[in-house]
Formats: sequence, C-alpha cells, structure tokens
Amino acid sequence: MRIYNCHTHIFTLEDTPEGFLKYGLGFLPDWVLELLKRLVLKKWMARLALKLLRKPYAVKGLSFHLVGLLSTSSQVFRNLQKFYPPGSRFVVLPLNFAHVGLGDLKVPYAQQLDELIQVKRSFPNDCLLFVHIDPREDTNENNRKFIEKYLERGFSGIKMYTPLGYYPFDPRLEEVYRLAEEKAVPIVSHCSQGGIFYAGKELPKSFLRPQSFNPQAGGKYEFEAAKNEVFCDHFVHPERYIDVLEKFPKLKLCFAHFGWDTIEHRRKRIYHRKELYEGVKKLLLDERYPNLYADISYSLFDKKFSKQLKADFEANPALQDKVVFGTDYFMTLQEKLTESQLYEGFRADVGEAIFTKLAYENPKRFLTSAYYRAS
Amino acid sequence: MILSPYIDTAISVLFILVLMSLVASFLNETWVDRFNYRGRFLRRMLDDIFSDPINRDFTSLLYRHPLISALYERGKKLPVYIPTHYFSRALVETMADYADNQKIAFEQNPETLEVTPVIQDTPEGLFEKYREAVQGLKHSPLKVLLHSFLMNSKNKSELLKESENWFESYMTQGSYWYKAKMQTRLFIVSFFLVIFTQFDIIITTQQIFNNDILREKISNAAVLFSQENKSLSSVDAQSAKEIIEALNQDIKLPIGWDTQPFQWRNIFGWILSAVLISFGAPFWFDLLGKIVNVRKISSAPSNSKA
Repeated sequence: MRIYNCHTHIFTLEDTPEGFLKYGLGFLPDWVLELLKRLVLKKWMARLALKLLRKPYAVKGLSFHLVGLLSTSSQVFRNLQKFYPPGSRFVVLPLNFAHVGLGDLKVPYAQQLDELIQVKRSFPNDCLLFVHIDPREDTNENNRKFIEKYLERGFSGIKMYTPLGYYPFDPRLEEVYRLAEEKAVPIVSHCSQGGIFYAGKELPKSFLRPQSFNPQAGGKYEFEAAKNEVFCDHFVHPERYIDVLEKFPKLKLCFAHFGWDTIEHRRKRIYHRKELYEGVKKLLLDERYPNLYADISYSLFDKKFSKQLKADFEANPALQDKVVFGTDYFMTLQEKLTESQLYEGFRADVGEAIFTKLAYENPKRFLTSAYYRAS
Repeated sequence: MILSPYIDTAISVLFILVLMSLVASFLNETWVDRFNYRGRFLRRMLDDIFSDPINRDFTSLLYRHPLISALYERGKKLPVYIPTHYFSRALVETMADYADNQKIAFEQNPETLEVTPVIQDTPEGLFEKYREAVQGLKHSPLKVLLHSFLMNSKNKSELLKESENWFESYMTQGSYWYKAKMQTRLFIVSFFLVIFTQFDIIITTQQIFNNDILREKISNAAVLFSQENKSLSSVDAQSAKEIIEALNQDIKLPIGWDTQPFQWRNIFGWILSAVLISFGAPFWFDLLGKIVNVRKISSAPSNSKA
C-alpha cells in the first residue's frame, strides 16, 4: 500500500516575514527583538534554547526555526522522505506570510513556489504541491488566474490558511472556489484554533464586519474585537464555510487538523474545543456536501485523540471515508516525536484496515482532480 | 640640543601609537574574521542590488550557484571574495535557470500516471535565456540593471564581459565603503583597548616628557625598531606584544591601571587615544620613520662637534 501524507510543510525560515519573533514577544522593544532574532538564528543557540525551554509556544517556534535554519526546502523534503517507505507521497503545503502583519517577507512568495517546483523536479511523483491562496493578494478574477496558472503547471491543489487574516467566504475567493468545484481540485484549509495568526498592530475593520460572497439569509457578520491571537479563532470556525458550501456544494474541501480542538489548549480561546470538533464532524457527515474531508495532521500525536477517533469511526462508519492521513511535518517536532514515531504510532493505534483507508483510499479520492490522478 | 626632548617625546609617543595600533588592528582582524564580517558585507552589497522584493531574491539564488557556493569556507562561512568571472557566469546562468524554472510544468502520463517535468518553449542558448528571464521580470531597478547589460551586448561573451565590468566597478566602490566601515570599527576596538590598558595619550605624553630616563629608553627602542623594520609587513601583533613586554621589563611604561588610576579627564584622553590609534599602524609607522630621520639630521652636527 502506498502511503499518502496529506499535510506536510517544507518551507524554511527564508520564507517567513522579517518580524516573525513578534509572535508572543510583541511586547518587547524592536531592538531587543532584533537582538533575539540574531541569537535565535544561530543554530547552536536554537538547539540549546530548545533543550532548556519548557514553554510549548516557544518550543513550537524554535522547532520550526531550527528546521528552517538547518535546511533548504529540498533538504527538508528529503529528510521527510526518510521516515516513510519508498514510494510514499506527500502533499506539500506552502504558506504566503505576506499579509500576516509582521513586515516584509525575506523572499517573495513566488520564490517559495519556485523552490517547491525545484523539489518536485527532483521528486515529480512523490511531491504533490499545493498553492496557498490569500485573497488579499489580488482581485477575485486574478486570484483565480493565479491558481489556474499553478494548477496547469502541475500543482495538485489549493491551500488556505484563514487565521492569517481572511474568512473562507471572502468575495475575492469566489472564483477560486468555482474553479476548484468545476475541476474537482482539492482544497486544504487550516481549521483549528492556535497556530500562526494575523499579528498586525490593529485588527482591520473588515475583520469585524466582513462581507460574504454568499451571505446566509439575513446574515450579516459582526464580531467583537479581541486580542489578535484569540480573534483569529473566528476565521477557523466550521460555520464560516456554510456560505461557501451552499454555493459550491460539490467543493472538495479538507478541514485540516481535525481533532486538534479536542486537545486541551494552553490559552483561552473563543470557541469551545468540542464545538469545533463536532461542527466539522457534522459537516463531514452532511450528505449535501459529498466532497468534504478532514485531515488528522498534528492531532495524531495525542493518543487520546486516536482513541476518540476510533470510537467515532465505530459510531459513524461513514466518517471513515471522510478522514485522510497527514502529520503536519515539521510542526510536530514540538511534541518531541519523530515523524516515524508519529505515523507508526497512529497506524498501530487505529489498526491496519482504518489506516489503509486514511492513508491510501481516501487520499486517492481526495487528490484526484482534472489536473492530477492519484494512483 | 634644545629640540631633543620634544623630538624624543614625539618619537616615543609615535612608537607607542604604532604598537597600540598594531594590537588594535590584530583585535579588529580577529573580530572581523571570527564573525565573517567581510563575507557578510559582500553579501549585503549584493543583496542591495539583487534582492528584488518585486521579483525574486536573486542573491540567494546566486549564492546557491555551484561556482559561488563552492567558495563557502568549510561549506558554512560566506565567501569573502568572488572572482569577477565567477560572478558573471553565475549571474547569467542563474538568470537562465530562472527562465527555465518559469517554464517548467509537470505532465502526467494518462496510462502509467507517471509524472515528469517538462520545460516548455524556452529558447536555446544562455544569452537568449538570459534575455527571456530579464524580459519576464516586473519593472524594478534590478530589471533596469540587468537590461542594461543586454543593451550593450550581442552575444554571451559580450554579456559576460558587461556584467564582469559592472561587478568590478561595484566591488571597487564597495572596497571604499568597506574601508569606511572598518575605520569606525577600528575606532570602537581602539576605544575598548585604551580603556582596558588605561592608555591616555595626554598623560602618557606628559609622563614621557617629564621623565628623562623613560624618554631616552623608549625613544632608543623606537629608533632601533624603525631602523630594523623597513616596513610594517614584518611586524605583527605578536611582535608588538613582545616589544611592549621587553620594554616593560626594562622600564615601566606609562600605561596600565596600576600606574594610572582613573581620573575624569581620562575620558577625553581615551577618546583622543582611540581616534589616533584608529588611524592605523602604517600611518604612525610612516610618521615615526620621518621623525627618526629628523632626529638623525638634527643630531648629526652635534656629533661632528664632539
């Protein structure tokens, strides 16, 4: 059986914005941040800090930096491959941090995509590239053209990361959804609280009273301002996808990090974790939307989650066809588990039959589109 | 002779400045080398031109070109120098590779489902690829520069020559900027050195002037040093340290916290000392040689009388 890991990252520190340290350290003066950045950019310092620090958020950041520092995208990918049997395939998800509010990118987003193309050039069958769309980049029509261009060049799907500061129902995404539905192009969308979020100094007004391309009956969105990290939870709630799914019910959409919200967060969030988990589950089982999926990336490190997932599969066998395997490499380094420990542990936890569905059968369906046929 | 104490004092002070400058230069060089300042300066210079936020960070791509990545010291330290012909080849080939990269697509065989990369519709030849890459860039100062190389060349060798010439001029300009930066850096190092060694040029000069034995010993050592070393190339920080130690065994040099406790006026003296040291050892050595010659000339008649 060929394994499909439907959620991995291979971008490096070069692809992040200049002010990345402002995450969690925004209260420090700029010169202190600059000094810290220089220290963290030393590999030995990052390694030492990783050993000494116990704060999960800091460790997450450092693990991320360390991989980013040690490698080019190609090296990260080769490293990832080592953990899996030959012939395994990996969905590689880039991120465009240009609008995250932390300053200019070190290298333009297009260059990150160039790098990924170089990786795929070396591993054309094993590396399945997705292209991240941030609707703030351009107009509705141009965003579609942008996606179309990369799909025609061999990209296999679309990545969305709404906590960077946009809603799934953003009017500038409508044409992208239309294209994705027409061509059965898979979309992976980050759907958990926590992680990277919009870190600009002020929340734009459009966050508080957003426009939808398909507002629900009488539906006007109004959200109360909160701290950025907490406010960005509004972007990931499964209800935000209702407008999208009503207009594009055949859309092939994957809610990433399914189950992460069952895990106890370290910080206060807007929504109850169970609410998000159940919300996604309800959508997955809704027959009006036959092409919805969820991946268990990151969540799978937690044994309690594997147990719960197994129980849910027994209660709702239809759910087994809706979940795909993914690990969120290399974010999972913060849990101090190697990639093989993660995937082999999960495989053992859920059993071979379920794992085959999650890592092979479901991904094959999910990834097949007018542009790519999974085998 | 009436001028002798003044000349001997000048010789002694200049000699101390030569030695201190040598130590400061050594410390500065160590610092520059340890943190690969030259390599980072060169990278920043290229970043200023080739890291184009509108298009691509071509500096990163250039540094990944095998011709340049092979210049990394132990695979890690940025190169401190790039030969001009390496640069021009790396630039043209990077641009050609960029043009190819924009045309790569992946095609899936409908039967075997194998995916293969295909480069579509790219011109043959480095020159043509370079031209296509430049034409494909969004308008930016970098595009203007790369285009200017094209304007003056009809083929690959002319293009290489054009970019080589530009790089050479840019590096010449860069060496001036680097010298200016080094001057500031040397001042900082000198400032810490004078505090560490409690070297206040004003107090030191006064002590040498007022102490006949001290003045004679130091000036004699200075004359010997000047005569033995026609240039500074044979003198390094180690020799400077040995000379200072030898002098210290013979007489107590008017330097150091044990001989000069802190006074507020030291602050002005330190700044002045640091400024003078940052002029560099060659400057003071040159001046020392001239003053030693003056001393020789001025002492010649009295010798003949004797």
